Amino acid sequence: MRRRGGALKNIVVCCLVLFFTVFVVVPIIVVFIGSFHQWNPLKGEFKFLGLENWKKVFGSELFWTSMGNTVLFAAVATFFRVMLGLALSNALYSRLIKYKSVYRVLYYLPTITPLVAVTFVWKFIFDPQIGLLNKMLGTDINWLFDSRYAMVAILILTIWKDFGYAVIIFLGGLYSLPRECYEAAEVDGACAWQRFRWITFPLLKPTVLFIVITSLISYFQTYIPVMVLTEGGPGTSTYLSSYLIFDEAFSKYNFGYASALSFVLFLFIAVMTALSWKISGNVQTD
Amino acid sequence: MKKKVVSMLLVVSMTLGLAACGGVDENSTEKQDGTEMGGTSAPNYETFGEVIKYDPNVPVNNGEEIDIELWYWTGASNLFESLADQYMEYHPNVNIMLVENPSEDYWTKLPLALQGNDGPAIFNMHNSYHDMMIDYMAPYDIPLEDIEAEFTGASGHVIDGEIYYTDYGLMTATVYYNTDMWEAAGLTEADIPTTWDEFREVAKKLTIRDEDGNLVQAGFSYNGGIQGDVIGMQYQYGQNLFTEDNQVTLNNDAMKEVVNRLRDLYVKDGVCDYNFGNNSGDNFGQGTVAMFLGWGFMTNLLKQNFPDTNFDCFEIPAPTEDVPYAYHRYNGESTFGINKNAPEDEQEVAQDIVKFFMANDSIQKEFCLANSLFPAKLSLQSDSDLLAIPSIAVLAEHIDRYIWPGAMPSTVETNVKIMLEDIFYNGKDVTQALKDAEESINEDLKDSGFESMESKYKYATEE
Repeated sequence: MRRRGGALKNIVVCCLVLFFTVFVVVPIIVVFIGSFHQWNPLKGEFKFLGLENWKKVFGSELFWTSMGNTVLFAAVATFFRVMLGLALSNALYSRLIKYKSVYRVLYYLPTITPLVAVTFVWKFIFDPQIGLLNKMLGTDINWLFDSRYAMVAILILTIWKDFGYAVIIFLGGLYSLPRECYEAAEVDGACAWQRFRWITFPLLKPTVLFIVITSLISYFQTYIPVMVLTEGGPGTSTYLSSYLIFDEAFSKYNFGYASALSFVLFLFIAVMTALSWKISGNVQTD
Repeated sequence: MKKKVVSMLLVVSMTLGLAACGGVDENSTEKQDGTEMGGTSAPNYETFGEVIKYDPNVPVNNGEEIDIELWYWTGASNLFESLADQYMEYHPNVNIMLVENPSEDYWTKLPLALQGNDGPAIFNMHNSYHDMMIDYMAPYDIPLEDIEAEFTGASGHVIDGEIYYTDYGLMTATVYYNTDMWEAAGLTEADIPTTWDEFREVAKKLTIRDEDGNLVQAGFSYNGGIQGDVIGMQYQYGQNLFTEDNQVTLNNDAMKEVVNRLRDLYVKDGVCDYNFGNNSGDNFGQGTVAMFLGWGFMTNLLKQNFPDTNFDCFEIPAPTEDVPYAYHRYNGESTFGINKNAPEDEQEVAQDIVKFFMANDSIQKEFCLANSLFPAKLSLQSDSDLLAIPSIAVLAEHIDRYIWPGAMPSTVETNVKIMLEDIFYNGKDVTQALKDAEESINEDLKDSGFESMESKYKYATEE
């Protein structure tokens, strides 16, 4: 019986290894090799270029613009996702709030809606003539064609779409916290803010880090809202790294250069994730 | 017994009746002119076409049954169904299997399919993917001189004396104007501008502001992107888009003139502003814009999406009353591509379908009408039904004064879009923006193998 269980375990592990090899490891290797080539798989073109693509990446103004935009976008979106998630989950956790499940559903709804579809809806909301947002705010802003607001518009959409996920995860974390700590704090006369500051937040730190890490990884790869709302414009003001990769690969069919860009982004995300894990490890040790 | 007799009589009478019907059919529906079908003997169809001729009586694949796939992208199923039905009516042994692909996936799926053995024998082609597709395509069996004799712009598609595809319909930028607004502004047909100075005056007359100076109606808008139209306006000043060594040239006086004029229309003339809508075509349909520059396909789009908007078109204005080097560039909708890796018998059928299409005026007319295209085929260029479409009619007089620059890689339009947005929305210096875009495009063109077709333009020596 034990031998049969061991065999099953080996089969499952082998399947997983095979899956990750075929769909993760091999593509990473292919992309790395492709980055040294003039590569268009649709034409069957694969010509060795040496370091040309890599030189082009680091010498490209658009690459640095897109990296700057990406870091800013990821940082702001992650910050607001965490803040809104924390605030609303704490509000929902409170005994004062009624109809909690209704709010939970409402907050989570944007998360499960298809991104492309809602992005098209937001395109209308941001319209300077007929858009709901200007009407509600009483403003006259060209959200998608004014470089001061175009990135803000993409951030608004992203935060609206994603905060519900953070709410649900934080809420799960809150419900798993030990009641005794709160009871002890109440006996000691701690107010609501003190309970949050000294009990809730420290105990939720691993959850916060989980949200931060997954958000950063996800936001470094964002391109759909850019593709639908601004196409990187006006000018290059909303070019994100992943949109640049998409544009190079699927508009210009320059897969070699897109591979070099992808590998840089891959390394960047890997470093950021490793850093986050390091911090996360320290937090858990603390 | 009685029942048996009645049954026998019924069988005999039905047999006689059917035989009689068969006899009538054979005489009355045998095809003489290629418009009717039926009968038991081989029909005799009329050959059609003037230079490229198609004889439907010639059997395809020796009359043996054959299946053949035709791939196309979404949007015009009825046209391809019509083509397949008409062809299969002549050749019932051929089964054309139409495969519709989502347009966003088409240019990824198709080349990958053509690399293998299961690609379609014949497919819908577009010249913007020339570079990617040409290595998979077989040249047409039709003599080159026949195609050149019948199709405008065919010479621009010749590669080493062969044609792999050409244009069946042409499209370019024309000015769409709202006829109700035109009339309300006191304008008549005599006011239709032929020069840019006249255009600016008309645009001003069509602009309406409220008492606080806020725009109510834009005289002319290019919000939402005009890159496709700007690439081509420099021809009016005798300036080609590409140099002899196939490098793009944007940082020149002609392009500066074009860009500055567009900016002046907003900044100096106040005919619109950059916040007044994000899509000039939609805004035109919604009734807030009186004129915009649109390509031929906008005609059907406007009719479909905004049926209450009354509009007409006029040709893009020129710098002076004189006929310019070229009014603009055109782009074409392409005839079919043939898969050179398909089995020989399928390729033979594909070649026959292409010939059927090229020789057949009525099918091409159907395709041109559906897409509001100016027909490339000379025999259709004075067709009254086609000329009744405003965006087609305005091209009739000067179609030879439009240039096809070649199958431009997408980097040209992408970078010109960035350039124009930087100028119009981000306030970047015009010269710097043109210089940056030019450098960026030429960097991408370096390894693309792009070849400009401007030298094949009829009036190329006037540049």
